[in-house]
Amino acid sequence: MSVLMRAREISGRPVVTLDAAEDVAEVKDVLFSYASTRVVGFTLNRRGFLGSPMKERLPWSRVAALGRDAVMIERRAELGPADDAMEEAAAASGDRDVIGATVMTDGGTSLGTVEDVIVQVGGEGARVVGFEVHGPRVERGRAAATLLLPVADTLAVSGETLMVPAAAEEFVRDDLSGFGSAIEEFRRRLAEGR
Amino acid sequence: MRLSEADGRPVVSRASAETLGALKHVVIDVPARRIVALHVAGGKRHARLVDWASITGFGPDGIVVEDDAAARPPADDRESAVAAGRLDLDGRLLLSDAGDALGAVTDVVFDEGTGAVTAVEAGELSVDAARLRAIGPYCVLVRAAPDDPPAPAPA
Repeated sequence: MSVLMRAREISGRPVVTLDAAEDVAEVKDVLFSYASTRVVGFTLNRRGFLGSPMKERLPWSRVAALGRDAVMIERRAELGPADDAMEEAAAASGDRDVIGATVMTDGGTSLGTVEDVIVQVGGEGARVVGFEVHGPRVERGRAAATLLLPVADTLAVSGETLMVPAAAEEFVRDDLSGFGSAIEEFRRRLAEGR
Repeated sequence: MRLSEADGRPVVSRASAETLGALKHVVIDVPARRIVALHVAGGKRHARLVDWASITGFGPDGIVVEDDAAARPPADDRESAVAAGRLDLDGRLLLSDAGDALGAVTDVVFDEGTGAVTAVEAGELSVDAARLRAIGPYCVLVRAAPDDPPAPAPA
């Protein structure tokens, strides 16, 4: 079973220990590897009203579960320095944030700007499977202002632009229901086309 | 019996017939799934507890303990936290170890003969105490089960 969630919804979720049922931190940002589309870890804030940033990180390898309401870890000691996967992703991406990037198809059409990142959480980890995109091109003839765009196995992101295959445009969805099957269909199409 | 029924019940010394206070909180040994002590409030300023083993009768109108000496100060940090209300069960988030909230704890079902905890309730939902993992300052943590209420449809 897998669950789709928005990265913005993950931010702010408490990090809870399984041994003491204590909330020891909360998620600040979700960090991805653009090369593998995997979630590699989280930056953290202290819990509370004025939660200040923590220097500790939570690498995905030390996450026990990512649920709808909390990120579960075995114990407080799981918080610490970034692991190799986080370091590699940070070195490869610099400080490039995909939120706000312009989505460009490899056909040269601009679809809009990235509003949020869709993450699929399942047995084999968490990966980026799509984006919420806001822009006049994807809005055309649709009620919703924000649309979901599936992504392939790797992402090309510069400071300003996210490059996607032109075929992605056909699999745009208005909401998360049915998006899972759109992702699968899109991936199948990419595999056949190459 | 439900904890909500037992809440506030007087705790009385069999030896002196004095009321030592009223049941306010319980200390649960999570791995053993058992109430091991009661926090008795009222009377004295300092927090006092009685061990489950000191109870001679857990009746509808009172909880009788052997003697006044059964009431003792908290023995460790966890007992102090319970007595201070920091591990209060009522209203605490019920969270699965998959990171999904199941509700807010409304009651705890236990056997008044043995102190064995049999279930934790969150409104309509009753979770078998065998699924208990931890009781902490943030939540009551239980093992996820396939029949947990499904995730609400994403918007």
